[in-house]
Amino acid sequence: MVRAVGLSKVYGEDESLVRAVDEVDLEVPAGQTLAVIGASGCGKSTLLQLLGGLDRPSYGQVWLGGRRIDQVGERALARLRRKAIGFVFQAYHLMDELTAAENVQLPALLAGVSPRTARRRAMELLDRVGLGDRARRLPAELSGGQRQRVAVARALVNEPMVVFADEPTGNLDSAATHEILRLFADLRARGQTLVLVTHDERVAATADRVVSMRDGMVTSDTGHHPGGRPLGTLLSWEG
Amino acid sequence: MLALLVKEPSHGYDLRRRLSNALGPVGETLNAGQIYVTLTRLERAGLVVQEREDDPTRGPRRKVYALTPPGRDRVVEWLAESAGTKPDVAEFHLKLVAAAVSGLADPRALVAGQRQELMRSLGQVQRAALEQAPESEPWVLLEGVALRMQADLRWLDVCERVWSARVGRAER
Amino acid sequence: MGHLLVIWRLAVRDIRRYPVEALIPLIAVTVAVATLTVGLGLTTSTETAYVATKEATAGPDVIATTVGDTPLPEKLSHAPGVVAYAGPYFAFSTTIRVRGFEVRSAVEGRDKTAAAVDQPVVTEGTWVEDGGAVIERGFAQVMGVRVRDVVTVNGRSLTIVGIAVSAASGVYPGSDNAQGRGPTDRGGKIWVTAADARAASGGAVGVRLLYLKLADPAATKDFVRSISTADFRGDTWTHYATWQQVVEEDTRMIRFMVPTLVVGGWLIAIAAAVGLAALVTLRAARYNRRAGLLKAVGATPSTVAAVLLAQTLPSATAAAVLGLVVGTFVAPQLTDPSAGLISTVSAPTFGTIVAAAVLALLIALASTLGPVVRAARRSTVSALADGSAESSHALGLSGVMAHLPTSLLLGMQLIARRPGRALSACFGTAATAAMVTALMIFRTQTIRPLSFGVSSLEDVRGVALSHVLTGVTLALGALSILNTLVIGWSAAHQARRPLTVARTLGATPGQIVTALCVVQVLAALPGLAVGVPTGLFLYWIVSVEMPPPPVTSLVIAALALLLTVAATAALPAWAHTRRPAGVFLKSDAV
Repeated sequence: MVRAVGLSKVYGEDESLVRAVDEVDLEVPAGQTLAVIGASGCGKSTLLQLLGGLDRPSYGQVWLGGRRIDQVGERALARLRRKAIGFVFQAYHLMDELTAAENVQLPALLAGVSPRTARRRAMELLDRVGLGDRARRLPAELSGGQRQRVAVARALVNEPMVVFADEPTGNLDSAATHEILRLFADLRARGQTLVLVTHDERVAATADRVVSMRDGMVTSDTGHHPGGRPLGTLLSWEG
Repeated sequence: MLALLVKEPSHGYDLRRRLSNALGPVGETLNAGQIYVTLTRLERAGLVVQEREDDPTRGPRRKVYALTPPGRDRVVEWLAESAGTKPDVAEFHLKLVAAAVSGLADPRALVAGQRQELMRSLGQVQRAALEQAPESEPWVLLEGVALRMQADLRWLDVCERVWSARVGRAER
Repeated sequence: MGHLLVIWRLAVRDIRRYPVEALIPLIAVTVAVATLTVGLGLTTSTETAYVATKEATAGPDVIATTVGDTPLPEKLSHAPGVVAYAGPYFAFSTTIRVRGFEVRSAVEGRDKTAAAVDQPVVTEGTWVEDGGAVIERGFAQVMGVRVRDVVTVNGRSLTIVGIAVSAASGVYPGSDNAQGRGPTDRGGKIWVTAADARAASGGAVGVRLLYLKLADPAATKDFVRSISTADFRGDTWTHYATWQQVVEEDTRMIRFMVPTLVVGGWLIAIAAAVGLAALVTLRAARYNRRAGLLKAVGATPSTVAAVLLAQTLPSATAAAVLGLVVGTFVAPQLTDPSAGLISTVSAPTFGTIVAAAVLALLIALASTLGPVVRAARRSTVSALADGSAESSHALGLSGVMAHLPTSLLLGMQLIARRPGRALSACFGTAATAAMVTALMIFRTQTIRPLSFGVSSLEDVRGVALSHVLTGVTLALGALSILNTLVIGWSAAHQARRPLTVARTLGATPGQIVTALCVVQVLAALPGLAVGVPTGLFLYWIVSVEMPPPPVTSLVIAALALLLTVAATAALPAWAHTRRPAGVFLKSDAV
């Protein structure tokens, strides 16, 4: 679904050269939940932005759904973002001036969906994220967790091929984090491809696969390992 | 301790010095007596053998111990052993030191293995926690377990960074 | 469809959320457009007023003036093409005394009954009666004459019974049309009964005025040509005046105001653009954030630009319309400085509408396009990462600091960081300074009173120009104050981080306020340096004569301007320092 080949992003020149993302090869099959983990400044957010077409790589390739996207024009990229990609950001990035429902409708309207359909889809999604009763509230009237749930609903409104989440729980307390992770678990169950970037191991652990990054490079990649030991052995103090 | 003998045969005093170096203040409780008792026990088990006696220029004569083949196997086995989900920090640390010193295993691989294991378990715990209502009793318990695991994972990050740098230096 | 809905929603929400920000461009553009509309619509509206007056008074198409007893009027009134006539009426020009003034005026003898052509509309009082005179409105106004005042004509006292307007002669001070042969002096007009006119004439020769209405009012020239032949009029002296000539005369009365208004309109436009630009800078952070956000959810750069422009364009459009309306309604007040016509509101011409739209668009685009394009083209990531493009490193507060006053240093550094804003502040000050300069020169030039026989009366035109100049200057001044407030506010807002850091390092609120004032004053200085000569130059272009510039008052005005700038700048700066330092540091954290 998402594929990066030799993906690099370089800032600056000569001595001040910074390799934010350094020759990363990565493939995310459809339906997989991938977590990219690493300390801040390791290049994980840049990687996400490159994969999501928010930023252009210095070199290397990005493929999305069998199409190479690192070279397409800004307009095509915009179309791609509204049709094929959903974004969730740490800072929510909701429009303060629009209500929750209108925020969710936004990508749909931009994608040319009729206002009526957009409204219906937004309501469905808000119900799904448990905010059906808050549809008419402005972001300022919602808690951080609720705002992020609106953002998740917004990311889903155009039924994207892949959802990218950049530190989706970075600003949230544990209860709100719990809600968002539940939402992601639900997405995972529905077969939604999801790439999330986090510095929180507990968030990353819920993914099918965890990729660690350091200094722009992938340092470890745990494959998909479902199951495991009985929970009891994990819980007992003496195990 | 056995692992420290892999690189070269050593005498008890030397072993103690090396252990103290690796453990720092944590190893302060270690005394010479314990080392010799352990060495004797290992010798009885056939894992080490007293190779020769050094003739130092001054001071008491020292017994130099070396690893037997079964001892070596035991070390390899120990290194490969998973530390489980709640590793004894000191033990895992010594394991990394021993692995590096003995060259029997790559400390980075050990860290990666441990991380994978921990991550998988953490995932399990987290998924279980997501099933629970937030702030419920089971949730609090699971949260505690997850936080501990997270702390271990963070420590593994530190280990990974340090040992990567060391191994990198050594390789260069 | 969906795009439009999004654009509409955001534009509406913005207006609701930031009404002040919507109001500022509204005010600025309205003032500019209104001034321009008045300037451009002035001649049109004079014509309209004349036409309205002509209609209301059954005004003549051609006025024939003859001297002495001749059969010509009789012949004329039956000339081909004439459909109606009135007169001939005996009239003479003399010096009348009223309210202590001794002024020249035409005295026209009329019937007590309404005439078929040129029946002046009485706006106050009644029409002529024996012993009762009616005075032309503009003339009456200048002298403060009211009904029941007494006017003395050649020793005969008549009571003013009414005040009226007429289209048969030019507006005051060009309404004395009974002077016969030779160059015409300025003067007013009164109407009396034919009997009173005869009695008061004291044997003066006077003239006969014949008012003609033609089948084709537009064909006055052809008509005059047809009756000017020697065959027709013989060797009697006649003078023909067409209604077009009267309009021309009247328009000349106010045409001199047009350049002032148009130039003033453009100066105001500059000031408006400056204010808007400052506002846009203030909004840049929000623009950038919004641009990034829209892009992240899949908006194309053009959609982003449309959304951002939609925040300025509606208020600019509303302002253009509002300005047109205001201008259209204000124009009649200036159209007729002497109140000699019936003022009506005339719809702006197509040209005026286009000019107003272009002006509004120019102001809006000049101030918004740059930031909008920048925001739209900026990379999504950087737009999202930080709202504004400002670099957040603290001002260097070491080294030179020891040698310069803190406030001055801070101010200089703020300018260095934002040269664009300093430049726009400079432009705004220049525009105001230019206008103030023009006003100052005008003020030193005494409005020469017009001589009207013995007494002299103030020149209504000069008075009107003075009003216009003062009005434009006041509008500019108000806009400039608004600009300084917005610029100061945006300066305080954008510099809040470095200034707060400076505060945490021990700068006092007083120093901060002074620093922000210094920024504005320093930016205003070159503005003054450019504006004053520009004002002199503009005045030189617009006016015929150029008096020596009044240096002292110009210096005083410049200082006053600087002081105003400083005082206005202090306000937002002071508001900024009212809040504790921590608020600003915190508000920047994501």
